[in-house]
Amino acid sequence: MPTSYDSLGAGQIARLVRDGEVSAREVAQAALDAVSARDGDVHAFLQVTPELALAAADRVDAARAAGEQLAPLAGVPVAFKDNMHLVGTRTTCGSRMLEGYESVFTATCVQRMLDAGCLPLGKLNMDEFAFGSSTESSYFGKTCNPHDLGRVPGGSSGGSAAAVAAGMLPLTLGSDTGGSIRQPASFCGVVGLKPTYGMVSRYGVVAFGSSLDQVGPFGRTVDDVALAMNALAGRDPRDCTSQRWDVDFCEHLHDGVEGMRIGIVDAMNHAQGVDPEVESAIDAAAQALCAAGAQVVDVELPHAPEAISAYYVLAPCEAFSNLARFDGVRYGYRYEGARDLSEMTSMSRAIGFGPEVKRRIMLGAYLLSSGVYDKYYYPAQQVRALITQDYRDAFERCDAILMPASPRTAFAFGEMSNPTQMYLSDMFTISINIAGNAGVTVPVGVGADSGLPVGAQLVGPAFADDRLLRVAATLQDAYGAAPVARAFSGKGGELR
Amino acid sequence: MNGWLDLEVSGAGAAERYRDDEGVSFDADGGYVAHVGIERIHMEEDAAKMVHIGGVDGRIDGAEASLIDYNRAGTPLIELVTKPDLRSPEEARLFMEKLRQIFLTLGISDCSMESGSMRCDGNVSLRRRGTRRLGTKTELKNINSFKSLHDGLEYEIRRQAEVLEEGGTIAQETRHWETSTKRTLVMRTKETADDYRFFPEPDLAPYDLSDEFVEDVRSRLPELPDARRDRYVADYGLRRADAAQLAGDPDVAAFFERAVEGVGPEMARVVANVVINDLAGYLNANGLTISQAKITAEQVRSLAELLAGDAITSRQGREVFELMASSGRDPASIVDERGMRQVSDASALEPIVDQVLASCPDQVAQYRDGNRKVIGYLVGQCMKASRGKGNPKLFNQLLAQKMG
Repeated sequence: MPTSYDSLGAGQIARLVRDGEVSAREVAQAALDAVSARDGDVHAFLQVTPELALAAADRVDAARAAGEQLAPLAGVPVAFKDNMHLVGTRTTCGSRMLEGYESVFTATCVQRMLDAGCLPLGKLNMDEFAFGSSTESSYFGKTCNPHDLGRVPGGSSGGSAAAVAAGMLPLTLGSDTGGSIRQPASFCGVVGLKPTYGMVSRYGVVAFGSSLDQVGPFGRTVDDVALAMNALAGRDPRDCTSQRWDVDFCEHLHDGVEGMRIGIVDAMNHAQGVDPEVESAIDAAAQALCAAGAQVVDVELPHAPEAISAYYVLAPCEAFSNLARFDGVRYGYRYEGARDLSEMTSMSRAIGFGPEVKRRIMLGAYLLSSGVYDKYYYPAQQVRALITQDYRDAFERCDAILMPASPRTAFAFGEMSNPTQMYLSDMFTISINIAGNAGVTVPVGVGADSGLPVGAQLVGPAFADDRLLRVAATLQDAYGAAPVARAFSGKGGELR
Repeated sequence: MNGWLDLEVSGAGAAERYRDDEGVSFDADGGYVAHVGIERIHMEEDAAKMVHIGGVDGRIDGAEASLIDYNRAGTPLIELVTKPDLRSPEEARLFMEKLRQIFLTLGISDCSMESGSMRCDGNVSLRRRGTRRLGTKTELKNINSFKSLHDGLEYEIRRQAEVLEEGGTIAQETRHWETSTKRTLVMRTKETADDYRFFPEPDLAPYDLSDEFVEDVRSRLPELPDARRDRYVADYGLRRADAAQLAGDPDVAAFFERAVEGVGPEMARVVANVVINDLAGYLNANGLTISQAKITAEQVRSLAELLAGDAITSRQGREVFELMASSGRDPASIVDERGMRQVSDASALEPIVDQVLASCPDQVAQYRDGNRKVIGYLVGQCMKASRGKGNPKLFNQLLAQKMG
């Protein structure tokens, strides 16, 4: 009897392949069918790679035929945000600057998913160089929210969230510098984890804010995200900030939250600018955790409101430095017809970068210039230390903090025309990047007014991501796994 | 934790420092210790070396072409910035000298200013005596020797002082030291200055060095020049300045230590004199390093033994040294071959003394009248009569005895 491929999670697909119920090639074919049937509306993909997916599938099938033990995610389709290098694909960062740029090496996070047996389906749309919260700034066109095609999927990992929400595949990878996994996960009604800084190697991920960037998975279940983390987490000698990690994310995932303390920051959850439907959804999520045996405690993060200000000093400074390499000489777009080197670089950057990228580069250039630096950069680092301490203090009193992932549900295209307004949509996510600990978005139903997905964010202490996912799994048990967006459910991609 | 280096400034160079400066105490000879704080040290990799062709003095202005030597790429380098604690060109020169000695001892660079493995820029800002706030600074580039550092700073201090005395203002600029004309020229002004926009590398997490790690590194450090100097003073009773000179260059220090292996302080002082006076002078005159010279530590020690045992005079010692250095032969064989061996046998010298006393009755009378200095003349006459072979100390002794 034919089943729709999109009803299966990563764990289930891997089990079916392992048991020989279905071949990896059949899975790959179903996934490619789902993408071609759905992505015309969503436009999550910048590049689909059937050859790579089918070749990987054939390797899985051959390994199984040879009686070899299969890797834990063997046969599971996956796709990557387009700032992650994979040999055989283009890596554009959603920018004209890197239009047609072919990866010359493979990122560690990508390689680890491939080593775990995943089938690489392609590359996913994003805000240009990951600067944005709507994926509207991609040079290659916008991605639509599968729950309402007139709305944004969030960003910057909008393609990664939308592809999962539309049921095109069970797992994708995104990157999160100020909320770029958790906010789109919230808008698209899927699970998205920003691991603790240092949990996943950043090697081969085009850098935006090096002290803030972290790679993480999207899935429709916490279980699938945990499986992906088993593949992703751990030390990589090529990223000196990455740490050893030997804990199995799945082992205690369903042990529940009995006796755990869930922190609530009242001042944040009911801050000005939070939509009432989000406020009440988060209150309900707190009650759900209480019903599962957790205890709710009030905690404070007195400096968290300053996180956005600190972030918009630190992140542009780091971006300014990281993007200096796009000089028209070494990578991507080059302006032809320049009279000299200086003009070539200036014109290549003027034409290759979009407006939001230029805005951040100019901000960084200004903030780091002599005389200005001391006024902004140092205070921002001091605020960073205070926020980090706030979280440490809070986690003395609780195991995880519950807050919204975004102050509102998905907004319509063009609705956020003012950059500052767009920046504020990251008010709940940014402080976690500043502090470096972990945050995960879990869908908690739809908003009472908008009918659009609302995501709860659970924030955990650094390097306790496994325990954080345990709380997330409990919330998921209360609300059920995230459904594929209604308009796309079962559309193309059938498995026999 | 703050780093610093203490500089011992003495001699003519010490006179460059303003006498009434607070925080410095001058000793009886006018010397003092300057405490120089380290603002920061960082490590980086050289990107490449630029070579400008066709311009004056290797400057980029007016050059026909600029070449980039990528052989330098990836070479690790250390950049060190002092606090504004240096008060004279001499202190700046000594600071660089001291850094050079430390780096040579650590074996991390050959510290050649000429070949660019050690470079420095000097910043100059003046203030009126009695005021605290330093004036606008200028930066001096193209310094390719310790001497040009000293001369460049001296010029720049004078130039700024003249501008200020005439009521002018100092512009923040980078100036180029032109060795040929001995003056500084504007290279770029503040408006065109590079703003590198440095900030802490965000890809590297802050790293806490454990006490064990620091101690382990410390325990593996070689003996540094100051410690070595102090040891030479304590063990051999060398003069501080002599000890510092030996300890400053690790090759010289190693040579000295080979030469004094197993000898007492008295002999060690003679060896030190040979190394500092004869050897250093010879190396300097011939543009050699100690490892390029033919002389061995053992030869220096034999020479010192000949000197200490009064077998040869110090003048002869210099002569033997020259021959030894040019031929590589042992000093004893040179002395024997030339029949230089000093006569220290009183019975052999007595007839000469008697002969000189007899031929110089005037001087003998003067001596007996109380003019003791005249004995020097008489010793000279004895030396002459012995064709330089007699032991002058013994002549002196015998003369005094006979006239007393």
